[in-house]
Amino acid sequence: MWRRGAAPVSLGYPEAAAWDLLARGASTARMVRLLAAIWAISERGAAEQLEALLVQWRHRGWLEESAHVGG
Amino acid sequence: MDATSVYAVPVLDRWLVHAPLHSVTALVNAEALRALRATGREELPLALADLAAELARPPRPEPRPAEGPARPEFLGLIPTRICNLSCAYCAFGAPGAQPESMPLKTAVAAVDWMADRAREAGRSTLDIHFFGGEAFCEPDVVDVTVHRARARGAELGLTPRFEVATNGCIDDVRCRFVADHFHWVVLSIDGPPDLQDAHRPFRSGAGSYERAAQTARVLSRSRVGLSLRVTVTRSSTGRLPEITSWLCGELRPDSIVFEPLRPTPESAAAGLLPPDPWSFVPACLEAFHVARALGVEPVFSAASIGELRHSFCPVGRDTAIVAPDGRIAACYMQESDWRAYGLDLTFGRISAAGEVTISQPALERMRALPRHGARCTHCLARWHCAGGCHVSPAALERSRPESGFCVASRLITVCELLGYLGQAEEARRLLQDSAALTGLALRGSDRIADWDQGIA
Repeated sequence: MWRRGAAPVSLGYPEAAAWDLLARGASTARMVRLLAAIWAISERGAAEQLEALLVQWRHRGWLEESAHVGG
Repeated sequence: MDATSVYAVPVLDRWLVHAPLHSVTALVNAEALRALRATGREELPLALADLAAELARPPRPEPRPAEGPARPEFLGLIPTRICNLSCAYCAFGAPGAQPESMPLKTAVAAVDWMADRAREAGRSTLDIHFFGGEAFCEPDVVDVTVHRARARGAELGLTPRFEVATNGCIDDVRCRFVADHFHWVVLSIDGPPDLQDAHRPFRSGAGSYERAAQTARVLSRSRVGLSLRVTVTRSSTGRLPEITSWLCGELRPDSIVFEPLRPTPESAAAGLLPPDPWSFVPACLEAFHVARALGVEPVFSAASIGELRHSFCPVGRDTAIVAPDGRIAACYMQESDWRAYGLDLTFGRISAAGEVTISQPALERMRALPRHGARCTHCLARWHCAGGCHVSPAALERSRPESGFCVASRLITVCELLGYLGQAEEARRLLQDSAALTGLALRGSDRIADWDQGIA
């Protein structure tokens, strides 16, 4: 499970939806399903984009620990 | 003077002149009223010249429905008809509701459609209201809607504004989400624990006061606007000032809304009756006084003197309210409720593929629905109450002077107008004079042109 570290000062859309769901403790499966709807893409595409975002946020120090989407 | 848009009603030994389309309200004596009516035929006293001049101006256009393609004021979404409470008087069919939830694709299509309408109309906001059941029983739909709307709003330069009608029985995480993202919350709560828990228990039978109150406390400390919606029954009418004092003192809302019970088979089975209007009016106005003293705005929606409207509710305002199955209607109540009153309020559909279809003839039918009957056109509350709910016994009773809805909306409107004029004491004297109240409430016409009789 990902955990929130320091909050981003300002995060625009579409990333903000992912951050909000993450911050409220959504499971990875739920995040993927909802983000696919919000972003109007496939769940596979949403999972890939979410994975990329999580990596990016970890590098920025916004997340305290890491895991892979689906884990 | 356009005598059809100027009204005058007796308030004890004086007359309340109200011309909403002229933005004029005044309290005058009989001699002044006679002089105003005769304007142009005799010299007016200086003190009345300004008032007569204002009334002689052309009135502003009457509030009207939109024309052409749909121009909704807001998008309504009903994520589900299911509810986590089991209210004794539920008017939304939750106890027997099918466990049907709105597909996420439907919610997204609705948001995109509304965003395009808002942009076409040149609006700066993207307004979305959630209804139920209890909307938060389908959190996925709410989350997707909020984030899709924020994303589309960012693309189109629209500020999203979310409003929800909720019972407030949500967990802390959801409560923080509402505080972060919502603009306004209408939270239904009927009073102190004894009333709330009796009227609005959880489905398990447990009381809901503590949970609803905790949500209200959190929201009242946030930047979200908070309205408490109190359903008033015949037996709770006399407690309205006490209920108001409790809720406003404990929960610190921005406004408190008093709604008379809408009778349903469930309410009848529970022994709950709608308030008697003659008891409701003084109790409601005393509750208004209590709320204002605590810095809370009181609301009786059929007597909103601060606005002029052609329709009481979303019906006739092009409002698109999407049901869980994708049907688009003008009303958030159940189809069976409209059908009982011979109405079909559906005017569009969102398909499983997310395609939005609007029937223009059906939309025109919705726009024509609030057209006022003869009694409304002679009533000074015409543009404030706008005829009330179409899907209620009141709709059928409006042609009768003794209609409880009309009695309450007329008397509260008059007292609110007196308060606006700084004549709250006059309103209190009026409320103590049952003959004057009855005469005022049951008048067949308030038009100044129809007041030949009764002027001394």
